[in-house]
Amino acid sequence: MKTQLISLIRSTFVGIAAWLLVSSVNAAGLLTPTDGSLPPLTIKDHHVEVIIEDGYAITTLEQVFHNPHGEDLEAHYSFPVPKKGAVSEFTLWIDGKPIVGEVLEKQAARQIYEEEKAAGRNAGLTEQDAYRTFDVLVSPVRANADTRVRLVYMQPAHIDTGIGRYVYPLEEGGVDEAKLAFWTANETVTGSFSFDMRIRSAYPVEAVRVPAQPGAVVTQAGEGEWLVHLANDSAGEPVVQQLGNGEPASADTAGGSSKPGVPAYRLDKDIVVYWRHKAGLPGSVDLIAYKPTPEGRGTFMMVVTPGEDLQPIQEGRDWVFVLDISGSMQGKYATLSEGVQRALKKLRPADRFRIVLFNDGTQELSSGFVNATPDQVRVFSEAVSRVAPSGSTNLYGGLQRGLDVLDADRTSGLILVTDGVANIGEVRQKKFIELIQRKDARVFTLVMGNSANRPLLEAMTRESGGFAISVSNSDDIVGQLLAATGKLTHEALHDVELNISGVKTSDLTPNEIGNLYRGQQLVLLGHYWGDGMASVTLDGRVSGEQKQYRTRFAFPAVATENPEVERLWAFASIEGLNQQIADFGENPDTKQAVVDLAVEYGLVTDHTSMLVVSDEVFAKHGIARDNRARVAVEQVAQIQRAQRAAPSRRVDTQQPMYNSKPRPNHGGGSFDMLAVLMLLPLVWLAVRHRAVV
Amino acid sequence: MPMARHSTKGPLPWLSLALAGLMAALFAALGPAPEAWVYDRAAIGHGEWWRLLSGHWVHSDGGHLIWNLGALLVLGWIIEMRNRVMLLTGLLAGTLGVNLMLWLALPELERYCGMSGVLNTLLLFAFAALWRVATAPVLVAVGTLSFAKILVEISAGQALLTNAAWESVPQAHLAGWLIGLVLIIAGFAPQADRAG
Repeated sequence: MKTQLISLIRSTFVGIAAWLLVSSVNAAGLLTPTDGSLPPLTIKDHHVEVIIEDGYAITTLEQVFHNPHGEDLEAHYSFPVPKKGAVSEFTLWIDGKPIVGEVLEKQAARQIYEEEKAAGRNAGLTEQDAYRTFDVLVSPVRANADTRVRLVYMQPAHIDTGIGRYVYPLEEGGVDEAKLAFWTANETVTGSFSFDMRIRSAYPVEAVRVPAQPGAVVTQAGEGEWLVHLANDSAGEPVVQQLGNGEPASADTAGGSSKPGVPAYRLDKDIVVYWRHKAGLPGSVDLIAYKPTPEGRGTFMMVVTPGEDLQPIQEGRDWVFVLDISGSMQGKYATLSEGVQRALKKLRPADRFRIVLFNDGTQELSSGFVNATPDQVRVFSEAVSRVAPSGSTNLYGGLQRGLDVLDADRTSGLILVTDGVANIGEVRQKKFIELIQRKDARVFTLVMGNSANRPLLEAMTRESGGFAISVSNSDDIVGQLLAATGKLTHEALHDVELNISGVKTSDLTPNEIGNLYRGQQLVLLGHYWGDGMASVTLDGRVSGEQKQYRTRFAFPAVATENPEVERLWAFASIEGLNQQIADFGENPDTKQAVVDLAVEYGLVTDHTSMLVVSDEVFAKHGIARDNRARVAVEQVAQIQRAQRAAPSRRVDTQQPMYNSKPRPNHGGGSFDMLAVLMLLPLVWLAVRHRAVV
Repeated sequence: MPMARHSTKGPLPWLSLALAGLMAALFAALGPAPEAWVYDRAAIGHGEWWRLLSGHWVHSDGGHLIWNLGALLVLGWIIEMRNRVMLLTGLLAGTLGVNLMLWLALPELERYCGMSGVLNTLLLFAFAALWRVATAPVLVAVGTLSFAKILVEISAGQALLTNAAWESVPQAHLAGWLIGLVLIIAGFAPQADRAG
């Protein structure tokens, strides 16, 4: 017990110390050079509005930057790239008028921005720094004045094991040491902050949970409609302001930088929201389409939610935990340690495990495979909690050592927990893939934080047939582990293929589906022509046996409610192209394909940026206002969707693909405070009549 | 009803303490919702019958455990002080009733853990035990309130106050409550015999 206490104190101390070390720079915020050459600006207001409907989330961020100094300055706002987040709108208010940005090739956008900045004219630029951050540049923020910007991004919002998860990423991962050394981040909102989420679902939503935000107010507006509100200046009333209406969110556009009596809000902690569908919903196929004209090309997103027919695995298995203990894990290690301890406790006695640690080098915590008995689990849980992260990240070395110790005679899985930025040793993705291909083991990755090299980690896990799960410090770690554990302890549907006949389709993404684990949805995007009934078959193998699921449903001739599906398809296609670049190296054709898609669909990528300049400058450079037109179409659709109840997108009602098998779910029984309070009268009566027999 | 006072102190409810200790020890040793112990419909279908018993003794998180632990100690103490055998009877009957409900009426519920369904059987047994010595109106009120709470939770589709990692299943509470009522009506209520 004493050892456990000391261990707990030590790990807590390490966690707090690590947090203190990194918190000044590990957050979304306005960046200022650490050398003090430029005075800092402030974030006056920060308002976030999220709508989750039809399988995707639209996040609108509206900010007001304030310049309290006597000279014009440039604002540089940086925030972590949201998972699969596609920036689709960047609007800057110039002379009180909102100007929607246009997407250009990265260098061209930067050049025009620099020209405008040098000329002292208003300009804005949103760039992507690989998988790490989106950077918003605005110049100038006038002396003693405010500048207002709006950023919109969209991302898939799918359900896993009946639970949806949304993350508004604010914690910077602390993995880019050069950037951290150069910049200091001001993550404090001096004026008003609000976060408003609206979840709209045709499937009943039973509960919504915001685990790390005790001030969040959750209200139910209907069977499938919930609201989440978080703010620093209200007592739970949802923000009424309508973002995107062209009028400033803040009444004053100049002057003071803080509101009296309103506590400052720090943008240093992710906001994670879960929503839980009603238990027992059947497996289903949903179709969200956009086809503005009958004769034209349509775009669709098909979401297959499997029913429960994957059985638990009975035989004992070997697990190798490969844990990142590099310095960048300092702020996340407490979460990692807790997660690993809980995972160890979930192993069956017939299972065995090994623990491999890596930073500059590698070491094995266990000596060979250890049986997962309660004693061994306790011993190694304590050992994991005692580790203090430090050094660099030799991810390849850690992975190699983990794979080298596998026993070829038993079914094995490798659980990799990392923030995923390989910075010493082998760092080429191609080599990682080759390493994975040499061994017959599935890799399951828990991706810690927002700055992980997700492309690399997802490529590795996909190659091995495993899966990757993201974990934030604000996550409900038990819930995330439950979702992961359910996948590891049950059979999976392997080598999944989906075929559509009866309607012409093309440009399907992803090209290869791979494996489907328990609770996972399959999301397929593509184009189609015409309309009418289509037959859809899903084929795969479970424990060597071939399985097939079928359904029939109609593709619509015209569908105008979800124009955002086009951008989601383009983003998914770009992800596929980026994967090719990572696997086989960059070639001009593939890069040009990325640029063309991003420009056509108005998406910020590694190779394209979103530029805002005045209408005259756009005209002078001959830049078409395609994104402005696309944004206008999307805004009209969003207004129309908001005026009616969320419709069902399920298309396999007549011929259910899963024969109405329910989605996987679990439950528990608990007495609560009210039930226990009701026992008090019984206690009183029992004490009063204690000696009566 | 004849009443006799022998002393102000009774023996320790060692069975209740032992059962509560077992519940806490399982959580400490196995952690939340241990995969091999929870009620798992598919696994039970494959012959893992022990889950029908073990699932009620493991919990999905610390809060889930604490509330159920407290209720087991209180209810176990009240029943055990009157009749220890009846405590065991209540536990077994509650387990059977809740399992029947889960298996027959909730086929969509794949996994379940926790003691609260069974505790509702013990709640009824505690009512019966106290009813024999104190027919207080408060017992009627508490009994009515507990039943109403279950009905409200079933109609709302969720628990009123719990926030456990695994969602509450009020139908299991109803099963436990009803099996307790049936046993009382059938004459299996706790008798006023000193345990041990």
